[in-house]
Amino acid sequence: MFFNLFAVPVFIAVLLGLLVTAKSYTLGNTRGERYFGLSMASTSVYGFFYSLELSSANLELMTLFLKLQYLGAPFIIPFLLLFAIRYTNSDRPLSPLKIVSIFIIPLFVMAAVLTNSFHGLAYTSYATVSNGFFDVLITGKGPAYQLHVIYSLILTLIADIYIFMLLFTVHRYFFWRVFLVFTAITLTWLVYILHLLGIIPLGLDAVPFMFLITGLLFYVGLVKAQFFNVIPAAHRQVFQNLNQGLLVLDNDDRLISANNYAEMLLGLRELSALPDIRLLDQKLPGLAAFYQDVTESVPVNTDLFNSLTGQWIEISIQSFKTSRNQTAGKVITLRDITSRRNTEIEREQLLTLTQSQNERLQQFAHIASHNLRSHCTNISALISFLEEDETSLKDKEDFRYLKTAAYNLQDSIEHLSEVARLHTSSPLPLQAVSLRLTAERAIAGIIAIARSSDVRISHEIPANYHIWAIPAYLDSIFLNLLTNGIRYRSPGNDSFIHISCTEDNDWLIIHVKDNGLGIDLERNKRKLFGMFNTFHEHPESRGIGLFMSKAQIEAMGGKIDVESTPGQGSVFHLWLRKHNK
Amino acid sequence: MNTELNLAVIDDDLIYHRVVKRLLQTCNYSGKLFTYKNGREAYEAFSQNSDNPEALPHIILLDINMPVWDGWDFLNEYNKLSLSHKPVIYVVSSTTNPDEIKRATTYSCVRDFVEKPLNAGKIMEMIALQGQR
Repeated sequence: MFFNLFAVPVFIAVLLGLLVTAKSYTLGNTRGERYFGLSMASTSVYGFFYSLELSSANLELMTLFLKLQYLGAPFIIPFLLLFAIRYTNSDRPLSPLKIVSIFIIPLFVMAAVLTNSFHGLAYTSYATVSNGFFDVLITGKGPAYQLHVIYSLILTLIADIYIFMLLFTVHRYFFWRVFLVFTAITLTWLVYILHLLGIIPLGLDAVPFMFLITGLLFYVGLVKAQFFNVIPAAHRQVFQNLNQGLLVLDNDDRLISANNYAEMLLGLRELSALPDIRLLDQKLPGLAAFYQDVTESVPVNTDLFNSLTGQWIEISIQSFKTSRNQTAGKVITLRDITSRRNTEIEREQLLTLTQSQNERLQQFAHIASHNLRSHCTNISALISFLEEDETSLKDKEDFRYLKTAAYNLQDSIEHLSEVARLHTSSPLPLQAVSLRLTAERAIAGIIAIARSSDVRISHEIPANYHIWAIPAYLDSIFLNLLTNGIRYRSPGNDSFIHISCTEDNDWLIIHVKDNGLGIDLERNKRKLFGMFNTFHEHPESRGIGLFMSKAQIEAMGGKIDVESTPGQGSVFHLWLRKHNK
Repeated sequence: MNTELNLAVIDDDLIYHRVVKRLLQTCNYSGKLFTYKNGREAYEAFSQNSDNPEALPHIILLDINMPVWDGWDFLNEYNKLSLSHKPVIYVVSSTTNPDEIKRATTYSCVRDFVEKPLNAGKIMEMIALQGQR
C-alpha cells in the first residue's frame, strides 16, 4: 500500500486533534472544554480514516474508509455547537432532551452511510479518478449526504453567531481569545460552504485540512492564550471593583494602574495621562512624604487628612516584587474613613460632655440637698420655737398648715438627699448576708404596724440561704416592700404578706407576695419604679420607695420585677447574687 | 448638767446661730456660746485668746461650707494654734457628699461628723461626753 503524501497533513491534523482533545479534557467542563474535546476527537476519527482513504490504492478499500469516516464526521459540528453554547454561557435553557435531539440527524446520517449499499441514500456512485497526481475517490452524492452538509452548515452558523455575539459583551481582556475561537469556527463554516457549492479542488476534501488550521488555532489558544483560564480576568474584576483604592506604581514612581475607587477618591479621571507620585501628591497632599519612607521591608500604614477635600484617608503603602524577586514598584491602598473618623470624634466629644455633665449633676445634687436642708431645718426649728413661745399660735389654722408644709418639705428633701447619696457615692462592698435573718429583722421592725393594720406577715426562707448584698440596702428594701404591702392592703380582705425564696445557678430570687390593692401594670409598669410616681391616694405616698429599692438592688448587681393584678394583689420578685462576682 | 463648758459655733448661717442658742436654752445650758461667721474669724479670736481659757470653747461646732475660710481651711490652720486647752471639734453639716463626710473624720482633732439638723439630744450628748473627761 503506497502511502500518499497528501495523507501526511491530514494525519498531522489527526494527531493535533488528539492532543487538543486530551488537553481540553483535563480542564473540566465549566466553559465547554469537554464538548470542545469531543468535537476534536470526532475530527480525529474522521481525519484518521480520511488519511487511510487517501492512502488506499483500490476502490473497495477507499469506499470502506469513506464509510468509516462517518463514525466521526457527523458529530464534529453538534459538539462544536454545544461548546459554543456553553462557552458563551447561553446554556441555561438547554435541557438533556435538547442535547440528545441535536444528535438525531447525525446518527441518521451515520446509519445511512454505513448501510449505503442497501439503499444508496448517502452515495449514489463510487469511482476512482486520477487528479493528475494520484487516484482519488469521486462519489455521487445522495440526499443523506446533502442533509449532513446542510445540517452541519446550519449548526456551525449558529455556533459562530453565539461566539460572534460574545465579542461585543466580553471584557476587553478576553477579546482576543474569543476572536481566535471565532476565527476557527468561521473557517470550519467556510469549508462547509465549499462543500455545499460542490467546490472540491483536486477531488480533495478540504475539511481535514481546514481542521488542521482550526486545531492549530485552538491548540495555540489553549496553550498560549489560555482560553479557559479566567483567573486573570477575575483578578482584574476584583481589582477594579474593590471597596478600597489601589494604586500601582513602578520603580520610577509612575502610576501604572489605578482602580475605580482610587480614581474616584483622588479625581484621577480628570487627568489626561496616568500621573507619577508628584502629581498624586497634589491630589492628596502629604502622600509623597509617606511614599518616600517606604522601603522593601518597611511598609507604611497611616491616616492622612486630605485638606483639599476634607476627607480622612487610611493609607497603606508597600513595595512589591516580581516573580524573580526583583523590586517592581509600590502599591498604595486607600480607604475613605471620614465617616468612621467623624463618628469617633463625635463619640469622644459626647463622652467628655457626658462626664462633665455627670460631674456637674453630682455637684448640683450635693449643693442643692445641702442648701435646701439647711434652710429647711432652720424653718422647722424656728416654727417649733415660735410654737413654744406663743402657745396661742397652735389654734391658728394657717400656723398648723405652715407647720405641715414645713414638715412635708423636710420629708421630701430628706428623700431627695437619700437619692442623691445613693447615686453619687462610690459603691459599698458586698458581703454575705443571711436572707432569713434579714427578713426576720425587717418583719420584727414592722410587726406592730402590721398588727394594728390587720396584716399577717409570714415567711418561708431556709436558714442556710445567703446572698451577696449591702446589709443597709437590703434592710431598706425589705422595710420598703413590707411598708408598701401594709399601706396598700385591700380593705376588708384577710390581708397577708408572704415572703418566699427560690434559686437558680446565679441568683436567689425573693418573692414578696400580698393580696392588696394591686397595680394596673399595663398602664403603670414604666412609672412604677420611677421617682415621685404614686398610684394610690394615700397620705404617706411619696413615690420614692420603689425608686430607691430598684436603685439599691441595681447597686448590688441585682434586679427587681413585679407581677400584679388590680384587686387581687402583687408579687415583687428580687434577684440577688448568690456568689461574689 | 455640766455648765462650766464653753461652746463655739463656726457657721455662716446666722439663723443657725440662733437655733443653737435656743437649743442650749432648752437644755438649760449655762456656759458661754461663742459664734463666728467663718473659719478665719474663729481662728483669729482663738489665737488672740490662746492664754485665756475663759474666752476659749471646749466644744466647737464647725460648718464646712463658709465664705473666706471654710471648714477645711480652719482645720488646716487649727493645729498651728497653741491654746491653753484643746477643744473638741464636731463637724456639723447638712452635706450629703460622702467624700466630705469621710474627709472630716480624717482630722485627728475632729471627734465626729454630725449631720444637720442639730437637735437638743445631739447637743446634750456632746456636752455629756465632754463633761466626763
